[in-house]
Amino acid sequence: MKKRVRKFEGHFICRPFFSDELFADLEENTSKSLARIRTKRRYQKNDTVVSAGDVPDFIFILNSGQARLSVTNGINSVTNLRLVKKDEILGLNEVLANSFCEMNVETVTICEFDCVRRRDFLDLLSREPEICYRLLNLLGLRTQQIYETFSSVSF
Amino acid sequence: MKVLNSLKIEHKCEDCDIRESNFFCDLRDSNLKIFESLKITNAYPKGSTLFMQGQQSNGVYILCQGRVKLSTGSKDGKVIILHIAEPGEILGLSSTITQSTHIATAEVLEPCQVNFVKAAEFLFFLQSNAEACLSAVRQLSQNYQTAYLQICSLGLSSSVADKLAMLFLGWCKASGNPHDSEHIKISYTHEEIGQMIGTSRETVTRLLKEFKERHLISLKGSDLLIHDKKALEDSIGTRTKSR
Repeated sequence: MKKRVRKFEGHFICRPFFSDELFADLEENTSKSLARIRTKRRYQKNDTVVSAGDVPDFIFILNSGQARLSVTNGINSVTNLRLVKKDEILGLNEVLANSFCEMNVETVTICEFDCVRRRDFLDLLSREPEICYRLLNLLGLRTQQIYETFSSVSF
Repeated sequence: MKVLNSLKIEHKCEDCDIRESNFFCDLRDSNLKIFESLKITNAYPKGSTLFMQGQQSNGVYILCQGRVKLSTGSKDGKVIILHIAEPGEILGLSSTITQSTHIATAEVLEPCQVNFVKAAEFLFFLQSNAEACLSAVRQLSQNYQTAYLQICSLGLSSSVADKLAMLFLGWCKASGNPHDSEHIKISYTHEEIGQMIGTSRETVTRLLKEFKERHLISLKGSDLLIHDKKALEDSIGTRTKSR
C-alpha cells in the first residue's frame, strides 16, 4: 500500500513565524546588531534553498518572489504543501533546536531571501535580551496554541 | 544536603553535580547565583501533582531529579500523555510566559527534586539575562517541535499501529543508538503507552502481540527489542485503520 503523506498535514496547523513579529521596532542598537549579521541571497527559479533532512545553517526570510514548501514522499514523488508567505521566517525552530528540516524549500520564481547564519543568530540572542525575550514570548504563545490544537485534534 | 528516601536533595546549585550542559540551570556562575536566590527547592514523592491542567500558572518548576508525566484530559475523561519530562527541563514554561493557565497536568512518576521560581521573578530574570533567556528559548523550541511532531504523528496518522510504531521510533531516536536494532527498557504500563498514543490498554496489548508476530519486536517483561528500526519505519502507513 502506498505510504501516505498525512503526517505532514500538521504543518498547516502550525502558524508560521514572521519577521515583523520578531524583528520590527527593535531598539536602535539591537536593530544595528541584527543588520550586521543579515545578508541577502538571490535564488534562481527552481533552486533548492533547503532540503528535507538537512540541519539548516541559516534562518531564511523571504523578501520577494515565490517559494514553495514540499515533502519528498518515496523515491520520485514530491508533494507540494504550500507557498511561503512574504516575510515568513524559515528554519527558525530547526536552528534553535538544532534539528533537521522536515520539508524542502524550492523557489517557484526568482527569489530574494534575507539570511542569518545560525552561529550569528544564536550569538545575537545571547547578547541582546530584547530580541531573545521577544522570541521567548513568541515561542511561548505558539507552544500554547499548538497544544490547544493538539487537544482538539486528539480528542 | 538532605536525603529523602533514595533521593539526595541538592540545595545549592553551585555544588550540584547533576547539572548537565543541556540543563536550563547550566549558567555562568554570576547568573547561577541570581537564579539560586530566586528558587525554592522542594522534593515530591511519586504520585504527587505539581500543577493541574486549567490552573492559573504561578511559576515554573525546574526538574532537577526524577521524572514527571505531563498529560492532558478531555471533558469525558480521556487522557493523553504529552511528554515525560526528564531532569533539566522547565515545566510550566509556556503558560508562565503567556501568563495563562496550564495546558497540562504534571504528575510525579518517581521521587523528584524540583526548583520552583515565582512567575514574576522568573520573567524579570529572563528579561534582564540573555543567557538564561536563550536557555529558555531553546527549551521552548524543543517543546514546540515535540508538539508539532505529536500533532503530525498522533493527531493525524491513520492507524493506531502507526502511532505505536512512531512512538517506539521516537524512543529509539532519543537514545541516539546508530545500530539497526534497539533495546529499550520500558517503564510504562500498557495503559500509559495507550495514553501516549490515544488508545486503550487492550489495543496496545493486541498491537504488541501483532508486532511480535510480524517479527518487528520482541518483548520480555519490560525489555523491548526492536529488531530492525528500518523495518518498523517501513511498516508505517501499510496497515489499515484500527482504533
